[in-house]
Amino acid sequence: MTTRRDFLTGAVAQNGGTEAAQAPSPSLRLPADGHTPRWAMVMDLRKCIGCQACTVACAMENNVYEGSYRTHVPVYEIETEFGPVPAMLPRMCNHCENPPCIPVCPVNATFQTEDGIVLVDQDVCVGCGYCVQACPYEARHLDHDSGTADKCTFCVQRLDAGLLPACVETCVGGARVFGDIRDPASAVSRLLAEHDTRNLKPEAGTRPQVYYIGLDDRLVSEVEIEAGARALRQAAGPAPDTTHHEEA
Amino acid sequence: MTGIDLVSVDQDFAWRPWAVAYFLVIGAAVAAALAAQALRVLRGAAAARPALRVAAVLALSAPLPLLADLHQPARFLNFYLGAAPSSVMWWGAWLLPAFVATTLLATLADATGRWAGAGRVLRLGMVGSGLGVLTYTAGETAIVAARPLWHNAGFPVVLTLTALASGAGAVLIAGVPDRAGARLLRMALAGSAGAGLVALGLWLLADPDMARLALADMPVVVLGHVAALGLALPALLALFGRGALSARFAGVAAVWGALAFRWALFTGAQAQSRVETATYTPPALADPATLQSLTGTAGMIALAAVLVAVLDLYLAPALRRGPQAGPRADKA
Repeated sequence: MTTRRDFLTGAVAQNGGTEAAQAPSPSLRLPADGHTPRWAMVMDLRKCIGCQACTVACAMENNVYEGSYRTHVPVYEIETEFGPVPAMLPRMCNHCENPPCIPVCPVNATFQTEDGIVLVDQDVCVGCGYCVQACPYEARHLDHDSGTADKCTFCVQRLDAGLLPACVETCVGGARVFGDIRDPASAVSRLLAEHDTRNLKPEAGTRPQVYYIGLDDRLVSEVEIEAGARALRQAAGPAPDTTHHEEA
Repeated sequence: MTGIDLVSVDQDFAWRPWAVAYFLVIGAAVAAALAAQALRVLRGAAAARPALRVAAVLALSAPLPLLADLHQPARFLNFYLGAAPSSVMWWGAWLLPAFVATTLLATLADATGRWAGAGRVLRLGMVGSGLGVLTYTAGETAIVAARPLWHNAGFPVVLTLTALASGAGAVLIAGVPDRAGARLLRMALAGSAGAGLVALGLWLLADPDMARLALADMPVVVLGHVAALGLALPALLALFGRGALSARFAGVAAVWGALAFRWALFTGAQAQSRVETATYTPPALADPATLQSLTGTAGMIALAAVLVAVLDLYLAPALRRGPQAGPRADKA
């Protein structure tokens, strides 16, 4: 029987034994030279304009429940010597080398593939929310429809089909770059070699695999913040009901 | 000023008010079971009986709020279909049924007056698994490094001490006919509530960062409420009060204190965004989710109380009569 986990980890293509599985795979996850990739993303903040195209593309590609996000781009206003400037900070699962969400899972529903992608088996997840509590990046949420933990998967279904993650493909400024850091010729490897990159919350010891170029010091760890949109939203009261009501 | 979040999102709490109810009920259940065993050793089986009944009622009630807090409760068997020893919650999934089963069977053995040898083993299992439950509930939250309000030395200590106070309080509310036993329980309540008050003060006041963090999402009035009404008042009532009525008041205050502490820390910790890009709106007391958890848990406790009363009044006497009951025994 093919389990969802087998499917997600690409074992179907490797172990299926069918003619189709033996044919050359378009999957990005099976490089021609046979090495195991390690996927990572570089966010070039010099190019991000906060248009939220990635947010929308992710939601459409992955059918994310309205009001929940696997990735989004918070926009801050920070003081500089030239006055206040906007600062974009795209956030998503960091697919950490040392992910704190995995050991806490009581049913082994969340796991990491050999190529570093942290996934949730939604057929097994009991929706206890422990992984949501454990993630220092708030990259997980409980899906309203399935009642299970949900998060960025690096669009693993697209990688298996030979495509880039939806957020990368749709980024109008080319700020999101995705690739294999074990391949020195990949775009992410070149960017990491050429630039001073930073991770979020390095003090958490999670070794994130999302790297930022041009990240302001004040946004690396705990962000000291004043009330902006939050205060406006709280003053406005609860958000309108976002559930879909079908016409009778 | 460092920054203003111009664009951020609203998020829901992962652990809802049902979790607060679970942590309250299971903590009180274990404390009542420990009190029952202590009273049995110090004062005999009859003195321990009310505490054991309270432990049984609360142990029977605890799984409901826990299951209700799962977003996929029908999949709870997944806890037992594989091993996840790195997860404290997985250990809890085994400790909880062990505690519930041993407590209920120990109550049955006590009510029927039979199976003396097995009863000893069951009580030992009840105490052992109960201590395990206290350890897992405190450890489950304390290990979450992403939640600074939980991830420190003070939170699990206060959580455990308020659990002990609420358990002693629950037994006092139910009533303890044995006067010496009741005095011992009042001392236990005063000791645990007083120690909880000291631990709460040391935890928050000794560390300015922790105090700042706590006050960020928990108003002074809430913390003052926990300290004054939930810890100091029951300790003073238990120490200086006289009679069953003051003991019951002390019990109610201790249970209220444990509930208020869990509510404040569970909602306060979850309301703090770890990346300051999300807004978590704490549930209000009048929210449907809160009312559902309160009425659901209270209803389950009432149902469990009826079941334990039926055990005591009807089932246990029938089992006690054993083979002597029935027509043949009557003829003899």
